[in-house]
Amino acid sequence: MKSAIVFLLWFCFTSGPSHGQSKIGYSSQNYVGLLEGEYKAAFQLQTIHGVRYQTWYGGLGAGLDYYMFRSIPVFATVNKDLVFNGRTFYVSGDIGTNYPWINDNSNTMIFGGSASTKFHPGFYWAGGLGYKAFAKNKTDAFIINLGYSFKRIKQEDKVPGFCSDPPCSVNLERFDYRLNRISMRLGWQF
Amino acid sequence: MTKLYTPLRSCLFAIISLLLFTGCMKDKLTKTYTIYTPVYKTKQEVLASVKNASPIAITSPGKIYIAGKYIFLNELNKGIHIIDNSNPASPKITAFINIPGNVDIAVKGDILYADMYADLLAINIQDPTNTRLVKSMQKIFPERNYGLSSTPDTSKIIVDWIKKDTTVEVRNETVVPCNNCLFESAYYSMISNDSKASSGGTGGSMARFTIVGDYLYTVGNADLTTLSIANSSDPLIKGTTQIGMSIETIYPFRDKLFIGSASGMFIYNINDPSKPAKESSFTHARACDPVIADDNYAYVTLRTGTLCAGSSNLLDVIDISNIASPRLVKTYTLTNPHGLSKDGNLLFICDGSDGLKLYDAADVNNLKLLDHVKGIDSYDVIAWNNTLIVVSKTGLHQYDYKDKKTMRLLSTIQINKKA
Repeated sequence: MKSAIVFLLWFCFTSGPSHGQSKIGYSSQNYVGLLEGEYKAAFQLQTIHGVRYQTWYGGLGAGLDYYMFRSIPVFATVNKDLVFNGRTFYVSGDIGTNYPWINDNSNTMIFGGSASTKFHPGFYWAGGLGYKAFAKNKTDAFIINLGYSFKRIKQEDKVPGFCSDPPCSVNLERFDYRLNRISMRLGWQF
Repeated sequence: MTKLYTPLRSCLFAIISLLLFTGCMKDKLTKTYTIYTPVYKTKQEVLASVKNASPIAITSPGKIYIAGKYIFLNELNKGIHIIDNSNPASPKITAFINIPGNVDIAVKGDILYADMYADLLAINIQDPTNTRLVKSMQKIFPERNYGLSSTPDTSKIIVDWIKKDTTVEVRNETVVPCNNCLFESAYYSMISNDSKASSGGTGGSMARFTIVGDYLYTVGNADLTTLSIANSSDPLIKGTTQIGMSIETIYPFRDKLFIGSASGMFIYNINDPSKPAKESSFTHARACDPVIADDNYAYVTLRTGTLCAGSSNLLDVIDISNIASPRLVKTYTLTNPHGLSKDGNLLFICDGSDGLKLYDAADVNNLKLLDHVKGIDSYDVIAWNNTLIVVSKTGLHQYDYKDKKTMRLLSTIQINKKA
């Protein structure tokens, strides 16, 4: 966490003036970053592909999110560039679904029967403020983004009751995880 | 320097704001589970209500027993549906007998024997639309108290459960919990299935009750109880024999009782029907194991699942021509076999979620799959007079197998899932 903050400060100090883009065209944003919340810091990775138009950027993205449960967020994203004194900041918003990618543990034995756990997709959204340091070609940019990220995952546990003859009961318990995180991302836009 | 100052200030402001905000970032976890609250009645009230009531929808079918033109279908821990099966293509639920805690059934003549938790009831069913309790025997099945060990007052009986989903917020819990396992386990631990009778009716292979001649045999978790029903309205205990642990099923064939347990099969002779005597046993891998038999072979299904342990889902064919020394002939791999039934060379197996299977068992070394009904999660079956009666998680099904090759659906009484 400390190293991430140091890097962010270094980035803010050393980044040079940048320029927004006015042409319509394909653009991709690719991030690595950290998610920090009550649970513990976790790695995240995202790739977004879309189009830019003047100060707007829109696209579809997917990634890896290791906070508490490994999951794959699939989302739509919108960016709006804000230029101050020749420097380009941007606000970003993501909305989509988080698909769990968790190893199946359905072979856990309880009362001699198998207990199963299933994870179900949940809502995902994120919002942030970023800064773009454009390269000399004025198209590619090193980007940094800070913001909030929410993911929801639902877990369904089926645990067999104590029973020797069928039909046997299955104990059902449902868990609903609503995870709130600070998101810090660094990336490259081209 | 001024140019650098503006983005630096903005970045610092953003970072500090977010880091301060981190402390407010709380994850929220809720858990939803079911709480069961027992509903009690006094034993006198319950016994007074053991009589015909209006038919009710089938919601949780258990064991089946057929006698004459009627099918008796256990509604788990609630009672018995009486189904007029004069026309197997159109069976009709005609009545329901309220018996809290009931899981097992057997019939001799006009008397139906049923358990009510630890007690054994004898009910006159001469007129199935006007049944009446003729005798109640207490503590025949002592391992099954009146519902739960948490019921200190044995004058009261649990007659129902109020089910309520509850959602609570929990902190720092990401493991598989099981808060209400014990509640549910006790609730459902009284579940089992039918028997085969030599007089009056036929039960399935997952029975804990069976009738041979003038005797009713019942198995508990560890013992075999013999009751004389020479006077069918007045059953009398003749004795109890310790067998072993985790006893599950009992099946009669000629002068033998085949008893299935989690660790093997026991064969008892009933040369003296009042005193079953152990003849031999056959040990297998730990698993649940309904058993049926014919003159030369016993057929044992082994399955994994609740309380069954083990990892085997098999059909064992055991040579019992030398009853003193049963010998494994062949093992077949199945999906999750439960009850089974045999009619001549036809072997019917309920294979759990893999449906119902019909085999040609003329050569036990080479069982041939003749037909396979998929899409039902079946667990008990009775083959009777070219009609197959099957209980599954979705209902009570009847099939015609006159052609000895296929199973043709005659009728289904669907379970009411909303009830």
